[in-house]
Amino acid sequence: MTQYIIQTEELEFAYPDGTKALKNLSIAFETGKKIGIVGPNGAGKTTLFLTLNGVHKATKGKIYYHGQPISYEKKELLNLRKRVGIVFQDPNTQLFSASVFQEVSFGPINLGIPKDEVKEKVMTALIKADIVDLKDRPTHFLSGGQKKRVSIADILAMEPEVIFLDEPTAFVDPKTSEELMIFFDQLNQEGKTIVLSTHDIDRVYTWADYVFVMKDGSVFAEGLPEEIFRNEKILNEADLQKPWIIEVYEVLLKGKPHLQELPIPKSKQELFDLIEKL
Amino acid sequence: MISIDHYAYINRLKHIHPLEKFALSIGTLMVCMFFKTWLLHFLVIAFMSFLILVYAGIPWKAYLKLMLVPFTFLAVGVLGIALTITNTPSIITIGFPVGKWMLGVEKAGIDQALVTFSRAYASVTCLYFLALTTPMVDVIWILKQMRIPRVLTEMMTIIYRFIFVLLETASMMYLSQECRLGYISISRSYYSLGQLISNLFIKSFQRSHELFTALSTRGYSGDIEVLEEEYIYCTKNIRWIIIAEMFFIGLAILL
Repeated sequence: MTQYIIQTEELEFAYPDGTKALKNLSIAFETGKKIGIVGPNGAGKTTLFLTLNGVHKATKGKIYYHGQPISYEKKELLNLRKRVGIVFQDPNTQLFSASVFQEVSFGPINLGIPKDEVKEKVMTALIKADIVDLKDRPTHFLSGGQKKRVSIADILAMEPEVIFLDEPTAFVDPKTSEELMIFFDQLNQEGKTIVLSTHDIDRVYTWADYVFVMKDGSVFAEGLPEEIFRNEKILNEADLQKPWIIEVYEVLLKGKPHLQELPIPKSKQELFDLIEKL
Repeated sequence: MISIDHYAYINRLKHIHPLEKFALSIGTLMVCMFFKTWLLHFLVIAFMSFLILVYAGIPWKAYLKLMLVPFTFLAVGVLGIALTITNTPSIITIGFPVGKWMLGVEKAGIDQALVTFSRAYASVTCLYFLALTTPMVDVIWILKQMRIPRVLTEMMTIIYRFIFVLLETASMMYLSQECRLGYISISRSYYSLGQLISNLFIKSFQRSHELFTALSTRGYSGDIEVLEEEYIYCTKNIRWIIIAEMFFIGLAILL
């Protein structure tokens, strides 16, 4: 049976001014998977993350963590925030301290862990995020990519089970975003469930195990990436583009219909292998 | 201001225990405030400048620029103290008549001005020593050790961080206005600057909201507590600081 780490049932969230950012949203994240969320700006991706971490209190519906409905009791909320980490899109909104070391220690200290253990956790997080050399550097001297890594280390230090990354590859150069995607793979191999929202269709197609398409505050479609990104109807209605690998694959398919029996290429390499078989 | 911050992180005295630097800087400052001997003040200026330039390794060009910052301000202030207008010409040492009055300097005025000037400059160098060698994070750490109310140190932490975010945002806004000829004439400049300031204000509000949300996701519940860096006292440094202070106090009493 598939295990779901987080599930929601008819979730609704409205901002104090009445705008409904999430409407009737039912979503289930499978434990240990790499999950991508795509959809236009304003579809409610960020709001969803904040609601699942308990920062926004759902106005309707239920959230289940490991099958248990979450209440908004203080102790339980802290526990939820420990296990569900969010990395914000703009590191500048997340980083509050001028010292990288202090910044990363903030989360674990809030969890009430003894100080020497906190130090250990901070160091582990810095090593994992590959920024030990930035430990004594002030935050405002860092580049965009370095700030991003610090904001990820912030969350890793709390040792969450699931990490939500809000457009992690926005504002970073292609090389860094490539490195980040590999980094997310490593985190996933350590058993963490990774959920990332993105506009980078090409990357998410190659990377994700499962994809959700969000539109107007609810889940518009979901499925395996090779299903979602080949479905013209979904792509059109959600204003999404087709990944280039799929585009090439479909052109190939037109000439050689027998290729349909082979699996759909998921990466550049798989596509090249397919071309060689022609 | 930004360059001071920059040097605070890259100077050679960064790793010295912040309390030692604080004791030397503030201790010497106190001595300067207490004793009105200009010779002592100039000695302090020389001593602090020596530490800043030789030990901390701050480039002398940058230091000279910093030293010039309070100069005009002080010079104008001191001029007011030194100059005297009087109708009893006998007390004036050098001066010239302005109608029925005499404008000039008298002995007491010059002494007063010299002491004010040297004392202010000596105090500035003491503070420059602290500012140039100790990053703000360490200064806040000192304040925490001194049991300054937590709400103040927390605010300092966040304000310090967000000064840079604010500056970045402001310079971006300025550039984007400049690109659209927002500063082409004086009237347009006033308008653009007004827009920039009001926008910055709104942005700051947004930022503070976002920050609160971001902190909440990491379990923030009213206290910003972080792991402090551990510093090690150096007995040799402490001995030297005490010797220096004793020397200054002794000298001041003798003079």
